[in-house]
Amino acid sequence: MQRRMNEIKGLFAELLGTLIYAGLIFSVTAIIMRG
Amino acid sequence: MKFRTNAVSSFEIISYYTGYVVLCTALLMTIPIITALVFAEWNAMLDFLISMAIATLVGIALAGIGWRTKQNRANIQWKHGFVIAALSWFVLMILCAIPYCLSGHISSMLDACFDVMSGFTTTGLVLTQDLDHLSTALNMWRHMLTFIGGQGMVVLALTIMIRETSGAYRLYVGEAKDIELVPNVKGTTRIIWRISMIYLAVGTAALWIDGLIIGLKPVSAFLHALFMFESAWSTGGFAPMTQNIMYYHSLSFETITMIIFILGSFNFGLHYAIWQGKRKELVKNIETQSFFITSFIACMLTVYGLSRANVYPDTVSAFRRIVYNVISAHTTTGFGTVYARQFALEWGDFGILIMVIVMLIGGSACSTAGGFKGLRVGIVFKGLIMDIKKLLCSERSRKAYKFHHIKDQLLDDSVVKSSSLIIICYMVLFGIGTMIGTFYGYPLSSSAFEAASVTGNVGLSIGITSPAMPAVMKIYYIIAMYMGRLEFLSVFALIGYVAGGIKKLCVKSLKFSS
Amino acid sequence: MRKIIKIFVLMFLLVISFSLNVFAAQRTDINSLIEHAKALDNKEVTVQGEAIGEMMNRGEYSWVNINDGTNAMGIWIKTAEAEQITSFGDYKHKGDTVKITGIFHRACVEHGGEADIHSETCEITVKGITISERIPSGKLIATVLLVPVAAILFFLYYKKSRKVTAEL
Repeated sequence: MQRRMNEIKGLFAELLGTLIYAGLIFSVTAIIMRG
Repeated sequence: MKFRTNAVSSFEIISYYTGYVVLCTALLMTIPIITALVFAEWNAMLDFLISMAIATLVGIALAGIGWRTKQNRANIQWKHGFVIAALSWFVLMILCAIPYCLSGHISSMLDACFDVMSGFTTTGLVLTQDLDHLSTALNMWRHMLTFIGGQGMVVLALTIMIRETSGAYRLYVGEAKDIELVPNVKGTTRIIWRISMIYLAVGTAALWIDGLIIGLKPVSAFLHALFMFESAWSTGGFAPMTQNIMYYHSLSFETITMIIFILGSFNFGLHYAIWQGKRKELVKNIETQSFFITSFIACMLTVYGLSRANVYPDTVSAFRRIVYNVISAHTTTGFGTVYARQFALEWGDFGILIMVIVMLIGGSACSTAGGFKGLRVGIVFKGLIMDIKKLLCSERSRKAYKFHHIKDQLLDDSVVKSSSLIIICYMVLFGIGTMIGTFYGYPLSSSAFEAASVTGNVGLSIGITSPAMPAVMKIYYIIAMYMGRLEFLSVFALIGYVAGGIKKLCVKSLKFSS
Repeated sequence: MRKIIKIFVLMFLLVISFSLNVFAAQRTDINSLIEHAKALDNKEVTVQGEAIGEMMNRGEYSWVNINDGTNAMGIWIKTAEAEQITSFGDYKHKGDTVKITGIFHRACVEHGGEADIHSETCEITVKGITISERIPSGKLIATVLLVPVAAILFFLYYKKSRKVTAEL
């Protein structure tokens, strides 16, 4: 059960991390394109 | 129990295991056959039945030649592992090309082999014509090949194999995946498959739902979702339509695939660690750090450079056309949101140069991605810093330098050396590819772009790859994709083995004649 | 003198109108559009190709992808007009051949920088057909010969393999 929880948390961590990274790049792109 | 007094030769061991891998692949052809049945694609069904029959016969023949391996439970060594990995990819390239040839969408056997190798190595360059009218069965096959190629042909055979593990480890390493997740190799391969299967379910579902939202019909949305997931996760780059990912005209679809291919480019050991609860590994690992830094800098530089030339009008355009392609190139995926020729005509040399660099750097080791690998770049970079520090430091203090990759590891000279040597091999492969391109009259920046795409198993094209390309270039690209993916060792082992065999033959015949 | 001026003006007008007409009717293939994207940006072009895949309804407007043999590109077209297209190309169908006249964008602002065409007029020139499959006799013979042989040999191989594993 614990293992299952870890896997799900791990999956979410990866997805979230990548999404945050994409968001970061998008923000910086916006800054460069505006400036 | 039967015992044979003479030992089983290397040749027989290699033949047996290659035959085994071939038989497993033949079995896989049932999937496109079932697909053809479901969609009533009779020609395609026959194409695959014929191919499956031929592959089965070849597999039985090879296994038969090496039969004593099984009877004597012969011990498989490192050198065998490398040669088997290299040889099976070559044999499979030819066998898997048969359904392509029979389909009528390909101009020659060479072109078919090119597409198969492109699939296995998760490159993604395409010579198949008229993708828009391809049978669902053949599309299923193409995308399956990249998904499985990403996992490694041999890992596939290992999962099904019911033998002891010592031999299995050597086959596995020959496939350029040298991370040891758990002491038991069969267990490791099962875990790799489990992670991929879970992502397959989650990713396909996400793309399917998005496909329905953007206007695709249910069945086709599912097929597109499945194919695009397989292509993204394996960082392959194949797509079921001529326009690649541009067919969908959708920011959401592009973003989902981007997340999938970034994750797909990560080391399987990393996924395993994170899924075990060590979630900090995502940011502590040298490869993810290396990737985040290099991809971020590359995106910023390219966006800035292209914005000065006003290539794209606004932020969303810059994100969809520049950032997407840079990251697609860096993870060695190869989905393109601009037409091939637009790279040459609109991006300018600065943009092309950055693309070349990120394509060569590539993704993570022990993943589906290609290129030098972020691990080596990180190690060489840290090695450089280490050397500088050693110079400046007093001679009496002895410091151990380390880097973090799943666990803390020692950064010593041998690690730096082996990383540097492989990087040099890639550079040579890339250099020759560029030279051949310029020899045939293509401009330098285009030749470099295409050569980097091939060497790093990326799949983006600047327009050089086409059926009209000189045969020499097609052959060189096949070799480069193959060597890049197997990371040289296997191929060198195979060459060495064959050369050694020929040498023995020559020596024997000389002895005979004298 | 006046007559000469009148003739010149008339000729001038004729030439202009001809070149305008010719320009609109002149078909460009998609690869040429890409090759000359900067020159043709925001200009009216005419393309003709087969509608492929399927129509993607995005509300009032839809996407229809067309392939003209040289390449494929997306057409942004009013949904009502797009619904005239009944056959789309795939393995079993040849799609309707459509002739589109519209504005080409090298990097369309509305669509995140994509190279596309916003349709103004859409004309179906050739209706699509269902492709009936023709199976070459050679393939049929090869299948009938190879498959049973491979199946039998594999069965024998498999049995022998199980026997050896059991013995060891």
